[in-house]
Amino acid sequence: MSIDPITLEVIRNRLEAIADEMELTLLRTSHSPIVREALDASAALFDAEGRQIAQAAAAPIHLGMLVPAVAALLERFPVESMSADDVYVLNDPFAGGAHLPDLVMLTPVVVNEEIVALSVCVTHHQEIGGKAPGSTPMGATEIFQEGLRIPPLALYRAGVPNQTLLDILAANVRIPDNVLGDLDGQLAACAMGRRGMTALIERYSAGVVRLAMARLLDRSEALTRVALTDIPDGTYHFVDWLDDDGIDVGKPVRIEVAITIAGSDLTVDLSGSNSQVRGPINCTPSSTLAAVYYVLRVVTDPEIPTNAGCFRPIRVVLPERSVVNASPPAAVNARAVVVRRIVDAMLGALAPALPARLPAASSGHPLVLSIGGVDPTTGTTFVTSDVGTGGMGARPTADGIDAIQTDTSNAQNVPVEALELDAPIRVGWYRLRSDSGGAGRWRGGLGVERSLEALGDELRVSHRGERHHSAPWGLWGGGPGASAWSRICRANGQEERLPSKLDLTLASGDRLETWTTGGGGYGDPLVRDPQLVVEDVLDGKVSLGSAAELYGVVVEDGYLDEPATAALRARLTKERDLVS
Amino acid sequence: MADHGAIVIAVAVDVGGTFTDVVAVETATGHGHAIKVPTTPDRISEGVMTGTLAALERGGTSPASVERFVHGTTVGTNAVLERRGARVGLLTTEGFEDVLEIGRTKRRVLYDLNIETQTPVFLAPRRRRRGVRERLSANGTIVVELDESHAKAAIDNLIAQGVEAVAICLLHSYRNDVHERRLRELVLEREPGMRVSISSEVDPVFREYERTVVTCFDAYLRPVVASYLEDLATTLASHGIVCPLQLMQSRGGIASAERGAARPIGLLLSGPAAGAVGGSRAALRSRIGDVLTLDVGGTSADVALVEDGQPVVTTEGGIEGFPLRVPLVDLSTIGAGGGSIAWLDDAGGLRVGPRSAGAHPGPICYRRGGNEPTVTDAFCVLGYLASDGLAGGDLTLDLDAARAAFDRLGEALALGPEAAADGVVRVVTMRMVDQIRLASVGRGYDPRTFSLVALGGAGSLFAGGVARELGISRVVIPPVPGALSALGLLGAPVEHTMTETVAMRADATEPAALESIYGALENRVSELMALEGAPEGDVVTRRSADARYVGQGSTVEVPVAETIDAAELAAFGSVFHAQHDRVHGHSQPANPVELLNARVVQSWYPSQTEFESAVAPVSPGSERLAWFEGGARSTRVVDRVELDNEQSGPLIVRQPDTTILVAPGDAIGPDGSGNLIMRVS
Repeated sequence: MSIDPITLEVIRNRLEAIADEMELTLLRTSHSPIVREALDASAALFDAEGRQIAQAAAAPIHLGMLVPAVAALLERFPVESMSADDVYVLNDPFAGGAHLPDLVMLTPVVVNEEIVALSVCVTHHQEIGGKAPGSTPMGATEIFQEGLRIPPLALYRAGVPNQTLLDILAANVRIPDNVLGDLDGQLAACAMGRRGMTALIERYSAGVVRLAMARLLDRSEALTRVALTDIPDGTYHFVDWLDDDGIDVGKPVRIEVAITIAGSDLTVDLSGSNSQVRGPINCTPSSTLAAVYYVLRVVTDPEIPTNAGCFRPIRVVLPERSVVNASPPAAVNARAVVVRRIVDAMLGALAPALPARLPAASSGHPLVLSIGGVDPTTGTTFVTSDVGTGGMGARPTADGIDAIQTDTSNAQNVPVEALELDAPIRVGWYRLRSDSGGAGRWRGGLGVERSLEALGDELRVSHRGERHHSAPWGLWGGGPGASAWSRICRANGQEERLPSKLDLTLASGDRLETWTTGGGGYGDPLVRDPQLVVEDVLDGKVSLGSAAELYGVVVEDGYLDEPATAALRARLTKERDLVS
Repeated sequence: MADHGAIVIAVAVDVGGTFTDVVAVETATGHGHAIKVPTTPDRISEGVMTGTLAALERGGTSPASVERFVHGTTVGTNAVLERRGARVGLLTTEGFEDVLEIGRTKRRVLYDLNIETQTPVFLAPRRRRRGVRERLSANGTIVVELDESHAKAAIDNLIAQGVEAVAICLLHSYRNDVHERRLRELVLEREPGMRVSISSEVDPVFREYERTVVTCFDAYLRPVVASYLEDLATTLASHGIVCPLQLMQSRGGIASAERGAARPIGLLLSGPAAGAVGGSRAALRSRIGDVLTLDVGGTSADVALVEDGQPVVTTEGGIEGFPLRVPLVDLSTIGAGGGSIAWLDDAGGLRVGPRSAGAHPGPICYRRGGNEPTVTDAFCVLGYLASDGLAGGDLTLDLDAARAAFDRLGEALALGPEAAADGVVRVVTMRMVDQIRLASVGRGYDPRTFSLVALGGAGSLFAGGVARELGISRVVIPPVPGALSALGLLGAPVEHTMTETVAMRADATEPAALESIYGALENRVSELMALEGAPEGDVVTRRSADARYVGQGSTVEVPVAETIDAAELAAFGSVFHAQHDRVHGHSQPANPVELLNARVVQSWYPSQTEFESAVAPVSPGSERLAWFEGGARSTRVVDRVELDNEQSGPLIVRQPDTTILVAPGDAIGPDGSGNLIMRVS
């Protein structure tokens, strides 16, 4: 059997369109702020051998995370044992999952009693039980505290629901209607994928579709290899740090990477990274791979169709019982902080190899909050979350963008009007953080500052921050972005500065005030176009003081003072040369 | 008013990026003429006038006989694309000055590091955004009174910066507009004549970023639209056309120029809306209500879904990726058209688009310097277009050069030139099919129950193939597919709408309370309709609600009864469950339902003007080889005017503004309405 290039391209477009339809269903029908506002859900199609063919990911953190999950499901339920109208689920990080809120669902595509493909999706559920509302407790030291753990299980067999599992699920979460509603959305998305694939197979035959899927994998591999050969051969090292694990406060966590490029092959060795920690920031492979896969997609050509073929040139070395490859019963709910730092370390390692392409460090996991409690006016239980933003790292030919999701995260913020409607909270301010972008020929993007006031008592908050004790690094002479920090201003006037990760409780009138990181700068700030500095001053993004001290630019009444700037820049350059 | 018995003319003008289409129709007889002239971007009114005078002259009538002038315009779109709008100052709640810039924090592409700022900061950079001290709670009660002296200082600051328009968007103002209204008064006290847009009027719906964006766009366009309409009215008057001017709005209805200028955001996507309306009106002449319109131009193709004669409207559209939360005809755009370039990726895979040769240099066959194979070149190779080609023979096509390019492309793909060309057409056809599936199946519609209407210069070449893949059995080809947008203007209803966020649970709402909300909305819309001169008895009112399950983010639009009582309110839930199931494939009848936004739409169809154009003959019938499904077939070429009964494919039907392709097994013929109907096997 053969397939012509036209049919191949037609089938490729169709596969991506089916994944998009699935994704749209997930997002549109969701009941949870985390999905409907933060877009934390993804859909994908796999072939019957468990190879990912197409994915509609709203966020790259889901990139590749479905691969180990599907492998685990297929190991427990081999394709031969599946029948039409079966539905399988899991969320266990130690059986292919990422963290407990991410529930993976799989349904086979059966045509003429033959399984040709798998329709798969994942949704971050707002709640999956455990010690804290929202199931992301910063104080967790074992997975048993993080919520209900679901190993690979059948949710439906031949269309018959597994009522036992549904009852256990409903009994273990704080907002069962919401969780079961989102589960319905996942079922609808999987069914949509199954319908789309069935129509495709009926149109072209199972043989042609199978062949097309194999060819598409080969093609993405070939395109990836072409792009990888453009990176100079060699081994590139980098070490970056996390503040701590939230339990052993003040004890930094190390991420070390060695990336070897040899022709079109790439090895990512994370040996030297911290051994697994007590706090909940540990990664299992599905999370670590998401970071590695993201960096691969960035340093190759973004236009390459994303499928499992892209990842064939990669070999990954993960040390056992480490923070990048944890063993049970490690707590993992906050693993995204380590995912972000792996990305930072990998991009930092490759920066010397690709100086004209790679940016300075981005915000590196800005604050994520889960907030829950009882609304005093309505008496109802609420759970909401917000994925914060910071600045993008400055780029070789442009400033970093202010206040934007970067790297593996791509969540939307929760609108102030939605947050205040959903929860007894009043937002005091939500604005750009001046002077937080790393100085450079190109400036790092700005972080964000915000104040949340509790309008009721017993507001429980999981505060998951990072970069309180380090900063997004600059490149090629660019300065670092500002570090993050947070404090509580109690109703009685007391102030408490907070560590980056903790669970806290707010009473009525207490305010939580937070500042997120800016991106690192790129290149020497003393050669930045002075007019750009003036514009930043006029916009209040850079203060007059910083303009002079960091950029050597003197601004008078909103205009550039050219002679004073030239003199100041000459002096600062000279002083710097003396120091070095 | 023209003399009794004199000829009365209705003129419709659709200004596009490249061409301005004008139709002048004698209202009593429907006889009329369609003219296409180049758009004059430096002063749009020039091209409008040239085309109008030419159309009138062709009909032998004078400007004085024009009693109706309807206009669709891209002036708003162009001002945005070229960043030529007003210098806007934005007033916000203190502490929230950066909502416009922070946006929703999401990026539109995942792996590309070279992206631009994802929010429309250009509308009002940070120095022109000022906070004022005031605060409302989520239910609209005042938490902090408006500090007027603080506000005045902020206004002074903006005026000192030379702003030409002011946008005002305060938190929760969709619940209570008192502070926004007072701020507008303060601005006008300080600077009488300043153009001001307030969010509680432009888009009184929750989510502050989306509301801020729409309000800023409204302010940004205000002076541009006003001076454009002034210039147009003056130009028309100086040539003797003094009837009132009407404008197509983005949602597919028309409004007087006065009302349109008061809400410029509603005109932003005026042009594309006219195409969908034109398609829907043309299909209605053949008594077909459910259609998909396929409008294929040079660089892109637009698809719209029409249900029961009404184009489906969305509030989730956008421009340049920025959200535009105002009612728009729900168009899906595919970046593929006649000019799309076929290319090979590094692994030898065939790709088509998104790069396009556009009008310059254009396809290879245009002889304007294009050297990459395009979809139009593929049509040449397949024999669908002849060397005397397009636009009534104004342009002779270089078939040999097109063929040589496909020789090369075919060689790389191990295919003959015709097979390669057929493949390129097939890839584009299937992308259109995928997009129509998303726009129909994705919203719960079965495309097989729809007819396809072919629009634009290239729509009729694709329509048969697209219909076949979707299982659609009937294609409607209107008399002048290339000028249908202009015709759509004449058939569109005068329409106004109002939406208000109410956020009420259906099971905990007093019917009387909801009835009074709808009653108040209806009164406000009726006032606008009265200003349009719509006779009360002829106005059709439609009530609807954006509803959702409590806690859900997105909504489903559900019709609401004319008068709301307990029984109607109880029935609302079941209608919502059914609609949710249709759109999303599941429902939860046990869960509570919330009415998020209440909406009232009123329409009035002024006296209908039907277009009975005589289609000009292009060329006598002939025969040539054309390529279908892997083989060359001897194919008759006929002029549309000669097609007086149903004929079977393979067949190529030509007319000045388009070429219609009828594949073997399909058949085409007139149905007596002026349309051609193609039956697809």
